[in-house]
Amino acid sequence: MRFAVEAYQNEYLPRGGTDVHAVLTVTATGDGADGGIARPSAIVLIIDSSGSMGWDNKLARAIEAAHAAIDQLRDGVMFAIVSGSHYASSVFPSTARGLVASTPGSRVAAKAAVAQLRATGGTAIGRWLDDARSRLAEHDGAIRQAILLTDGSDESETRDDLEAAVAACTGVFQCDCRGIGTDWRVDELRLVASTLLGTLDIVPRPDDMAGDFSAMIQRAMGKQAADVALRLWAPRHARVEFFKQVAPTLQDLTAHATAVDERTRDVPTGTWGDESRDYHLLVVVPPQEVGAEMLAARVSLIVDGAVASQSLVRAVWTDDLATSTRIDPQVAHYTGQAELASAIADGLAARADGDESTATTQLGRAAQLATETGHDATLRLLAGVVEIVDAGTGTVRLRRDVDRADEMALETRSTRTVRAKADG
Amino acid sequence: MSLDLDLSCPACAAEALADDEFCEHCGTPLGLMDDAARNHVEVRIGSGVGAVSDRGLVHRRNEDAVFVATTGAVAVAVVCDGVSASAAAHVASAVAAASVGDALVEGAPMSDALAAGAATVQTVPWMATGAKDAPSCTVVALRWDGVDATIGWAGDSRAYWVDAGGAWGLTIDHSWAREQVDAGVMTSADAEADGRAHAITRWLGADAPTAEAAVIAFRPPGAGRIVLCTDGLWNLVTIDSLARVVHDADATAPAVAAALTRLALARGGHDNVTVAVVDVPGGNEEATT
Repeated sequence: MRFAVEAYQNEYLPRGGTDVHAVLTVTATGDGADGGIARPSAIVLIIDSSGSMGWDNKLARAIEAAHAAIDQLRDGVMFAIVSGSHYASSVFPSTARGLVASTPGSRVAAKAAVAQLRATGGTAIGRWLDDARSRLAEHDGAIRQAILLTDGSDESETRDDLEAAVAACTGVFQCDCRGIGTDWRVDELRLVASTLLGTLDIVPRPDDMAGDFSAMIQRAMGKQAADVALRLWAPRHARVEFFKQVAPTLQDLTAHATAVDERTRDVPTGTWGDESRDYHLLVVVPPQEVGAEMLAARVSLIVDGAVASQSLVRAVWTDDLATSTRIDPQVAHYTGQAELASAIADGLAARADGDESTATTQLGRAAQLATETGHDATLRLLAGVVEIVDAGTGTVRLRRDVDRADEMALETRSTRTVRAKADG
Repeated sequence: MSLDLDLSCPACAAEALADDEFCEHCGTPLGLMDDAARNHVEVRIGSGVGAVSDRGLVHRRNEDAVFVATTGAVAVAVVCDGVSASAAAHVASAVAAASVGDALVEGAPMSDALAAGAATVQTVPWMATGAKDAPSCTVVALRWDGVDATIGWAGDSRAYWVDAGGAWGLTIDHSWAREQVDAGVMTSADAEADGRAHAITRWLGADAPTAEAAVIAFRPPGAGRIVLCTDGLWNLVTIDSLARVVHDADATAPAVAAALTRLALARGGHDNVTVAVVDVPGGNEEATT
């Protein structure tokens, strides 16, 4: 697997300027012919089997989805299936702990075991994660991932329990989360998915689940590199104001960074397949005299402990306003995307609090930004919550009868971004 | 095999109950304990289907029963284990295996066949003295039509899929130990160590809890064998040994059934041992990926 990191920025700052923005594009490419040894995959599928899964055929659909996922497992992938209620129980392998190698026979047996799931009990997501962690912890060399499906809020344990479990899993495995129905809580699954570097989505229609699960398994098995970190160096007296992933989804990673030394910090990025991700960095530097130049940041990709690629973020002070006021198109694009996501979050929060005027303003702004940036998927989701009168001016009316699933889909997917069109 | 439940006294022809040791009319011993014909039963249908049921080395009689049949491309196998705490357990298992098997051969869906077996067991005449429970047995049944396999069960008799990759349990025991583990009350090790570990929670019999039949269907992923057995086998033969013996390409299904039984007897044979083996030929390639 080869990695490249490239910086997009306008390095020119006006006199007294301090804010250095850059968008960093990291691209991973599979080795293909020159091969390296493929990293083994270890996957735990966590299926909610709490009592509420028995309603609306949800469990039956989850079983079908799990069957589709199991069918996708390549021979040799280590896997296990855990069902979750107010505790975790082993579905497959049935008695032993740990993981089992995928073979035609083990897949048949796993599907037979999953087919016998029954819906009963409460929901304690932290305990499910604990169970997955204990299985995956023994497979350090593998690319370790979990897929978690739930339909309810984490009612059988405290928020502290959940946070402690998530913290214990950090660095052990990556976890994609899916919420089915409308009784789960976006903030809880977002905590799990974002801390454990996975994806989050709503499954509004249970019929869609099988395809989604197959795709997740395919993606999980496509991962070839684990333990990829971005190392940020910034000079003395400079401050990393934020470091966000901005594509394919928006996620503030500033708090995920761990200090390597006084000027260097590492941000974990989880596992990589053939893919590309964008990051937005803001470094605040002490102003220098006009004509001066400095290195504002150095961004290195650390793959399995070694530097795989690096890119420089510079600052140059100038009196030429035409140069210093130009905003890099990539930076402008993602600034807009971030604004769109926060307008949606603020609008939905205001709506929930009954503050209709703020909700209307924010969701109107969101409709406007979504239109400007060609974010059609978000615009469609917005249309389920507000009636868009004029997207150009951000004029919207709140809808009275909003389908809860539409609202949750908007909340869940508001952090997805579209890539900047030009290449900088 | 068919249902020929003749319980009459050989001396006076008076009607007897299934759990009568002596004729209530003339006092003649009814030979309840000496059903020598069941001490060792071997059934083979060609090289692809075979079964063995053996009394074992400790028990006085064999309360397990087995049924195998083929019709066209369809193979049917049924294994039952009479519950020792129940009256006339040997009769319960015999009539259950035969009626479930007959129903499957006639094309009944698995859940209907299990229901037929349950109904038949309830017709076994017995004397409710309080010393024993109503006649009862476990069941595990297979219908394999050359493409798809359907397995139904109640209790702790098991089905395994065995291929080059190993042996895999397809059924989940209806047992106290398994339920404790599933309920999160105990670890697997603690539950297995408990005296109640093997108490079954589902069976065929008049006092059986009503529950939805446990039925699974699957398409075998390639060449392999399906093994049905009672706890007299799986308590003594580890899953790894089972995989090794069953995945012997040179041995026929009946030879494998006999080899598994010998292994259980060599390891103590403290219970009745019953095993049925059905070959699943390869050439089912579209299902392998």
